[in-house]
Amino acid sequence: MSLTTHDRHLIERALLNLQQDLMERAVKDIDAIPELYNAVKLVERGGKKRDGDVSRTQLTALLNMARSQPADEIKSYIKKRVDRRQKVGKPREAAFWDALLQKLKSVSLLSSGLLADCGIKNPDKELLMEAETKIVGSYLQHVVAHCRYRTQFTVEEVQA
Amino acid sequence: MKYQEAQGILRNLISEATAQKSDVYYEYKVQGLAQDAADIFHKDKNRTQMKNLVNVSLNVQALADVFSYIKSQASKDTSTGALWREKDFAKNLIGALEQNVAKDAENLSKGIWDALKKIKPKQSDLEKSESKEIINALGDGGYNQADLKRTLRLQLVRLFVQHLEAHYIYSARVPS
Repeated sequence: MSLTTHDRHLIERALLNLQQDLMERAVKDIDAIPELYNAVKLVERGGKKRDGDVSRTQLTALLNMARSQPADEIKSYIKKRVDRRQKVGKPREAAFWDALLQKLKSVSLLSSGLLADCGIKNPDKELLMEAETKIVGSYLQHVVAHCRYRTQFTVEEVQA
Repeated sequence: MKYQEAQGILRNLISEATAQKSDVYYEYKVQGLAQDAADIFHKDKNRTQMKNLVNVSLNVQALADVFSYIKSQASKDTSTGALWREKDFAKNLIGALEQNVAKDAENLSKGIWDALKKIKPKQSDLEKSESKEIINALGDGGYNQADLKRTLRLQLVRLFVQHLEAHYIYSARVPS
């Protein structure tokens, strides 16, 4: 699908306008999954890793994917994580990753609305995937930033 | 009315609205935070933390990126990360930005958009058949209320952190 410079400009601006909503959505979603931020730092500081704990390394891997991979790759990576955790008998961890996957699916749906708002009515698959990748990537970056932030405070509260 | 002309009117309205908020931030909103920042950061290698925050706010395109920066600083496992968490500074700063910048941008964008709707084309434009209302002229360039809200958020957060940095330096060097 050939886009004009003006179309590209509109899409970029719409993505920027969406940033605040994506951040607020990420904060709300993560605050609703306490299993995540409760455990991360405790594992790093010598605590025994239990089912439900998500390590900082896992978050870093997720952040790297968010910055470099297309949305469908990210979703299939998380899906594999869910399956693997279920297979090795870690239902709480599997539940966390599955919850995140469902959130990503709902965030992905924003892409067609965003393009429609820019006047692009019937986008091809490639353009949809491009918009979806940017939206999912931004959302995940906010998810990881908020996870790490919440985790630090939670650990200090626990230690106090 | 043409797009460029409409943008000029919009810029004036934004400038007036943000100038009023700037005074409020300077007088009432940043002083407590600046005093905390002076107590926390004005030592050793951490004096530049507020300057870096200002630079980030000047270089990003969305308020969310400023929040992400504050969170990433506070999440660090280093002594700098610990300083950002001291006295709940990062939490309080994020709270202040949410309570002031984000809310003010929301309210101002509504007010400015309503004001724009009330501006009618000039008689001379009507005679030249350029009778578009300002909202439609902005729409020609793809500009909408979401763009306005983001512009306001950015301008307000820049004002907020610039005042914060100024008070911080003052508080650190001129003890009360």
